[in-house]
Amino acid sequence: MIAPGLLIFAGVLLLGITLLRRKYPGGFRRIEAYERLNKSVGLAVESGTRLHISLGRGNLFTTRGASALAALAMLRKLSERTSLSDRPPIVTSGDASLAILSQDTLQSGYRAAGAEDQYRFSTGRLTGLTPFAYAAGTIPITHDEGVSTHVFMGDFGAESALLVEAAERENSNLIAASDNLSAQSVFYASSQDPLIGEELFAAGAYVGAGASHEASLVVQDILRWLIILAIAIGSLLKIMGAI
Amino acid sequence: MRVFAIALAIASGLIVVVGYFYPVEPLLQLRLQLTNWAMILAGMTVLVGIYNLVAVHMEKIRTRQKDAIYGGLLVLSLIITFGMGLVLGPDHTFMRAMVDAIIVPVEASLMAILAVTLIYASIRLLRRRVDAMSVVFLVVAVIFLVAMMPTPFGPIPGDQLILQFTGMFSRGGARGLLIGVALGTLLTGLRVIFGVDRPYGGN
Amino acid sequence: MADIRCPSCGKNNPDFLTVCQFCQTPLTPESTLQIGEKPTKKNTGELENILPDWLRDARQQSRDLAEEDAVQAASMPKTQKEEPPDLLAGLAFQSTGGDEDQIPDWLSSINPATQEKPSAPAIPAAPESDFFARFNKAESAPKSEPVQNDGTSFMGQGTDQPQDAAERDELSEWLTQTSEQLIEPSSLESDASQIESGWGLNIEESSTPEKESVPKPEEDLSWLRNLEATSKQTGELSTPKQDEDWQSGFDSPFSSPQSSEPEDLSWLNNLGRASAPEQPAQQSAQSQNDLDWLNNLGGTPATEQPASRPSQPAEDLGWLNDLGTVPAMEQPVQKPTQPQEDLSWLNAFGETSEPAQAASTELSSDHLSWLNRLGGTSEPSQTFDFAQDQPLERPPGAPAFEKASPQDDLGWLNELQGTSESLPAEPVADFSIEQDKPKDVVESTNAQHVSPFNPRGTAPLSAEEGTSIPEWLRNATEGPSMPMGNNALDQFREDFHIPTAPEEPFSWKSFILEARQADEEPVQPQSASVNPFTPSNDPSAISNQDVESLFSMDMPDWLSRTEPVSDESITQETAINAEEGDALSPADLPSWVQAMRPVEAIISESAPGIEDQPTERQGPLAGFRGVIPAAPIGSSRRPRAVSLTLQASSEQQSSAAILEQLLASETSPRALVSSPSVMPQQMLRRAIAVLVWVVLGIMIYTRSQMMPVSPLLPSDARDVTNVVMNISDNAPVLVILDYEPALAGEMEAVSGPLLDQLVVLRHPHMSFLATSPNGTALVERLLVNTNINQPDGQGYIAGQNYINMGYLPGGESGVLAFIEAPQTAIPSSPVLGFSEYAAIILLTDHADSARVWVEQLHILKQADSTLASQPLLAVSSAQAGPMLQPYAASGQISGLISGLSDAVRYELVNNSRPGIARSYWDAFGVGLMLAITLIVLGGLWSLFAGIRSRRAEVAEG
Repeated sequence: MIAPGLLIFAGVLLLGITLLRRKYPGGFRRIEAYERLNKSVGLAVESGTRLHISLGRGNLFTTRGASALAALAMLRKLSERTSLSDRPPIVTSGDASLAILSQDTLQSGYRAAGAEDQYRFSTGRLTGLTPFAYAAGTIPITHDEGVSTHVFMGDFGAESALLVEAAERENSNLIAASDNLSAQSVFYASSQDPLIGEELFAAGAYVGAGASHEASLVVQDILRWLIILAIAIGSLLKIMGAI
Repeated sequence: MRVFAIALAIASGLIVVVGYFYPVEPLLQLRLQLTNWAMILAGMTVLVGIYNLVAVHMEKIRTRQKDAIYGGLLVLSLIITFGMGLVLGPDHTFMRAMVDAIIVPVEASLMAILAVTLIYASIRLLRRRVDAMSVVFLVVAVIFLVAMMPTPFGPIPGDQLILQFTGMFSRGGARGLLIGVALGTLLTGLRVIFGVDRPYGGN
Repeated sequence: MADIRCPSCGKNNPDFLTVCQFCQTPLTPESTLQIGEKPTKKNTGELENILPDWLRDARQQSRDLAEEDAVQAASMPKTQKEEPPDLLAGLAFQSTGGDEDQIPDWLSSINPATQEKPSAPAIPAAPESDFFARFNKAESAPKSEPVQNDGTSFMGQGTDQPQDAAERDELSEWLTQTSEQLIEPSSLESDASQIESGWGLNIEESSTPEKESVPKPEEDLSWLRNLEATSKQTGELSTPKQDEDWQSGFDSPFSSPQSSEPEDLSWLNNLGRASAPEQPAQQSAQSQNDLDWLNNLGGTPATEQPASRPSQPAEDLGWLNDLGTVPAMEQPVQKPTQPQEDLSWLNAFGETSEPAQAASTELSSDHLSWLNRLGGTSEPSQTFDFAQDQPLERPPGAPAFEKASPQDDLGWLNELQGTSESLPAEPVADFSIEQDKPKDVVESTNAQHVSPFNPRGTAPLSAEEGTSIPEWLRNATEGPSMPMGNNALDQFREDFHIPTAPEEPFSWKSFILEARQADEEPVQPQSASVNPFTPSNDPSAISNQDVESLFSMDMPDWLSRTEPVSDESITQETAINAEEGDALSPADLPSWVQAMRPVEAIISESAPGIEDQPTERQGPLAGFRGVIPAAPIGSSRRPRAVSLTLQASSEQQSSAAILEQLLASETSPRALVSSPSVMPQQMLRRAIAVLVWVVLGIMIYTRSQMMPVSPLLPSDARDVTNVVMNISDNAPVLVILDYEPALAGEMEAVSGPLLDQLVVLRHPHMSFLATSPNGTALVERLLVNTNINQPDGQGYIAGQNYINMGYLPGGESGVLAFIEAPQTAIPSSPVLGFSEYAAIILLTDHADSARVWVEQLHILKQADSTLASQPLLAVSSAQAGPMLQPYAASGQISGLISGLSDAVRYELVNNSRPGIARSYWDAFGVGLMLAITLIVLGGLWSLFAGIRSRRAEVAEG
C-alpha cells in the first residue's frame, strides 16, 4: 500500500502544485550549469555554431527512459530557441526509440518556432546501439559539425568519458548530467559545472519548459523530505529496537 | 490523431501501473498484451533506428561531407553483416568471427581508452577545479584503488577495513543519489501519464 | 519673319500665331504648359469680358446689393443669408486676383460630404457622377413620400425664414412663391413613378423613408441642407421612382414649347424642372438657406402661391415662374419667349446630374458652353443628346420673367451644388439609374471611367480672405463647399473625352421631343463600362482640335489648378494613364490640362512621403497633406538626384567610426592565442596511454602470476557457492547476458568460475537470454572462453545442453513479459513457466538493468509462492557491484560475484578453473598501481601548476 499511496500522493501534489505554479510562478536556486547552458545556447546561435545535444542511451522501456524523457523536455525548448540558427542543433542518441522521439521533438520545436521547413531529419541521429558504439559514433560530431556547446543529458555510462574528452579537445562548452552514477563520477571529474543526482530532472524547469516541470521539482523536494524523515524515524526506531 | 495518441499513452500507462500494484486477472492480461506490443515496437524501433543511421550516413555521402568515406564504410559493413546474418544465422562461425574479431575488440579498445581517459581526467581535475570537494573526490578515489590493489606482497593491511569504510560513504551517497534519481523518474513518469509531458506528437 | 516650331507636330508656324496652324497646339510658352511644369497663375478676371451681358448685369446687381445684404447677412447666420448667391462666384472670385489658394469653396469642397443613405439599395456601385448628378438624384427623389410640407423644403425653405420682402430680391421672392405653389401636389405625382425624368434618375438611391440628418460638417453646409430639404419636400428621398427620365421634366413644366433665343434662359428650366414633378416631401427644419429663388427653382413646393411678383426691368426672368409651376401640370404656364443670349451652355447646370458627359453641346471659345462640362459631364451614364434639332420650347408667359430681379446673380449655383449634400455620397443607385435610362442616352454615352479625382473638403476661408473677396463671392466662400463629382473632375484629365457639343444652340424643342420620346419608349439600361477613349459615334463629337480651341482661352486659375486627389485617386489615375495613356498625345493638351496632370507619378521616386509634405492651409486643398508636391512640377521629368551623402553630425560620425572599428575587429582574423598547455595535454595523454598499454601488455604477455590471491571469499560469493550446490542436476538454468561487448572481457573473466563450477557440478541445461542486441553473439564467445562448449572442456552442445534464446527486446516490459510468460515473449524458450528454472544467473555490467530483473523477480516471488525458493545469482562488473550489494544484503539476490577481485578468489576456490581471472590478476594489480601513481603525481603536478598559473595571472593583473 505504500507504493500506490506514494504514487497517488505524488500525482496529486504534482497536479496541485502545477496549477499553483501557473498562477504563482516561483524561483529556483541557482545552478551554474543551467545558467551556462542558457548562455551557451545564445552564444551558439549568435556565433553561428552548432549545439550538440546528446540524449544518452536510455531505453524508453526501462527506468532509464525517465532521464531520456527529461532530456527530451529540455530538447524541446532548446530546439525552439535554436531552430532559426544558421546551423541548427544536432541531437544524438544511443537508443532507437529515443532517436525517433528526438526527431519528433526536434520537429515540434521547429514548428513552434515557425521554422518547420528548416527541420532536417538528419539532425536527429542514432549513432550507435551499444554504449561504446554510441560514443564512437558521437565523437566525430564534436569536431566535424562545428559544435560550440555540448549538452549531455540522459542515461550514460562510463563511455561518457570519451564524449567529454572529445568535447574538451575541441575546447567546447560542456553541460552534462546523467542518472547513472558512473557517468556522474565521470562528469564530475571532467566538466566544469557538474550536475549531480536528480539535477538532471530539473533541466526542463530551468530552460522554461513549463509549470509542470517546476512543480515536479517542488514535489521532489517534498517527497525527499518525507523520505529523509522516514529514514530517520526508521533508523531511530531500529536503534531503539522497536522494529 | 494527436488526441488519440495522448489518450492511448495515458491509458497504457495507467493500465500498467495499476496492474503492477493490483494484479487482477483482467489487468494482468491487458498489461501482458501491452507489454507484448511494447516489445514488438521496441524491436521495430531498432530497425527504424538503423534506417536512420543509414540515412544519415547516406546523406553525408550524397552531400560529400567531411569523412564521408567512413560513412560509406559503415553502410557497406552494415549491409554485409545484415545480409550474412539473414543468410547464415547468428550462430554461424562467420558471424561469431565478426563479433569476436571486430565488435568485441573495438569496444574493448574503447574501454581501454576509457581507462586512459579517466586517468587523465583525474590528473586534470585539480587543474580545472581546485576546491575541497575535488580534493576529497580525488583522495577517496586513490584510497579506494589502493585498498583494492593487489600487491606482490599480498593485500595491504587493513584493506577490508578501508573498503568498508569508504564503501559505507560511497554506498550511502550513491543510495541517496539513486533515491533522488528515482524521485525524478517518478515525477517524470507521472507527467507522461498525466499527459503533461508529451514527447510524442509534438509537445 | 521668324518661324515658331510647333512643339507637337514639329512644323513651323509664323511667329504671330499663338496656336499651331496644323495641330492647334499652343505655340507660346505662356499658353503651353509642359508636363511637369509648374502651372502659372491665370487671372480669370478677364473672363468678365466674355461673360454674357445678363451675367455681368447680374453680378453688378449683386455688387450693388452687397451693402444692403451685408446688414442682413451680418445679423443672420450664414446659413440663413438672404443674399442671393452668385452664379459664377468661382469665376468672379478668381478674377479678383485673390490669393492663389483662395479657390471657391464649392470647388474646393469637393469632398464626400454627401451622406450615403442607409436605405439605399445595395446595388453595385456605378461610377459616380459629379455633384450635379447627385443634385439630380436628390431632386428626383421618390414621390411617394407623404406630403408634409413644413416649409422647410429645398425650395420652400425660405418660407421658414423671416420673409422680409424689402430685403429680398425679387427673384427670390418669386421663387419663394413658386415654391409655395409647388407645395400643392401636382397631377404628375400620381404618375410620377411612370415618368422618366432625368432629374429623377437617382431616385432610388436617394429614397430613404426616414429623414436622416446630414452630418454637419464644419463648413457652412446650409446649401446642402437646402437641397436635402428640397429633396425631402418633394419626396424624392423617400420613395423610389422608377423609370424616370430627365426628359419628363421638360415635358411637364414646359407644356408649351417655346423657341430658343440666343440669350434666353431656358436652360434654367432644367433647374426648375429638377423636382418639379415631385411631390413635396417632408423636410427637416434645417433649411435656412437664403437662396429662396432657387428653392423655387426646385419648383417642388408652394404651387398654391402663384408667382405674382413684379418683374424687374433688368431682365425678364419671368420664365422662371415656370419653374415654380412646373409640377402643376394642370396649370400650364404660358411664358413668353424672351430673346436673350444663347445661354444654352448653362443647360449643363440644368442637366447637372446626369446627362452631361455625353451632352453634345457645341463648344466654342466665344461662349461659355464649356461650362457645361463642369456640371454636365459628371454622369457618364446619364446623358442626353443635345444635338436634337428641335429646340426646346420654353413655357411662354412665365410670370417669373417679369419678376426677374436684377439681383438674380448666379449664386444659385451654390444651391445647385449644395443639393448634392443630401444625396448619397456613393453612387449606389447609379446602377439602377442606368437601367432606367433611355436607349439613346445609353448610346450617347461615350465615356465611363473611374475618376481619379476624389472630392475633398476644404477648410473655410479665413476672415482676411473673406474680406478681400467681393460681396457677390462671399456667399460662395462662406457657403459650403460644393463637391465636384468624379466624372466632372474627369474632364480635367488629359485622357478625358470631351463630350460633343451641339452644332446648334440649345433648343428647347429638342428637350420636349426627347422627353416625349422618352415617355413613349421604355428605358434601356446602359452599358456599364464604356471606354472613355473610344471615339464617339456621334457626328457632332468634338475633336481634339476643337477641344484645344476651346481651351486655348485663358482658363481660370481655379480650373488650372491641380485637383486635390486622394491616394486612391492617384492610384486610379496612374493606372488609367498607364493603361490608356497612349491614346492621347500630351502635346495636344492645353496647358491647364497638362498642369493638372498628376505629378505624383513623376516625382514619386524622389518625393518624400505624404507625411513629410506640408499641409495645405488654404484653398480647396486646405487640410490635405502632400497633395501638391513640394518639388517644382515643371522642374524635370526625372526626379532630382538625391545625394547619398549622409548628413550626420560629428558625434554621429564618431559613433559610426567606433562601430566600424568594432565590426572590423570582429571580422578581422585574430591571432590565435594558442594555449601553451595544448601540446603538453596531448603529450600527457599519449604518454599515459603508452605507459599503461606497455606495462599491461608486458604483464599479460609474460603471464605473470606473482600477485598472490586471497583464499577468503566475500560473504556474497560464498552464497553463490551454496546456491550452486543446491541446484539439482540437469535442471534448467537461465543465464541472462546483460552486458555489452566492451565489458565482455571482464564479464567472461568474472562469470567463468561460476559457470564452470555449475557445469562441472550440476551439468544443468542452460538457456541463454540476451538483453542486449549484441548479447546473442556474446553467448558463444562466453561459452568458448570458459571452455563450456569446447570438446576439451565441458563439451556442451548447442541445442542439447544449452540454448541461445536470443535477444529480449523491450527492456523492463520485455523482462516482465518474459517472467510472466517465457514462451510468449521468447518462443524458443524451453520452459512454459518461469518457475521451471532452477536458478537464474544474471551477468550484468549495469546496475539498473540488473535492478530490473531483481525487482521483477521479487514481485513475482511475492505473487507466486512456487518462485520463492528460486535463487537469483548475480555476476556483475566491478562498477556495478557496489550498486547491487544492497540487493544481495537484503536477500533479493541470492549470491553476488562482483568484479575481478571476487572472481579470482572464486576461481581459486573452484580449483583455479577456468583460470581467466587469474590470468588478468597481475595485470590488474600493476595497472592499479600505475593508475594510482599517475593520478597522485599528476594530481599534484596539476595542483601546483594551477596555483602557479593563477599566481601568474594575478601578477599580470
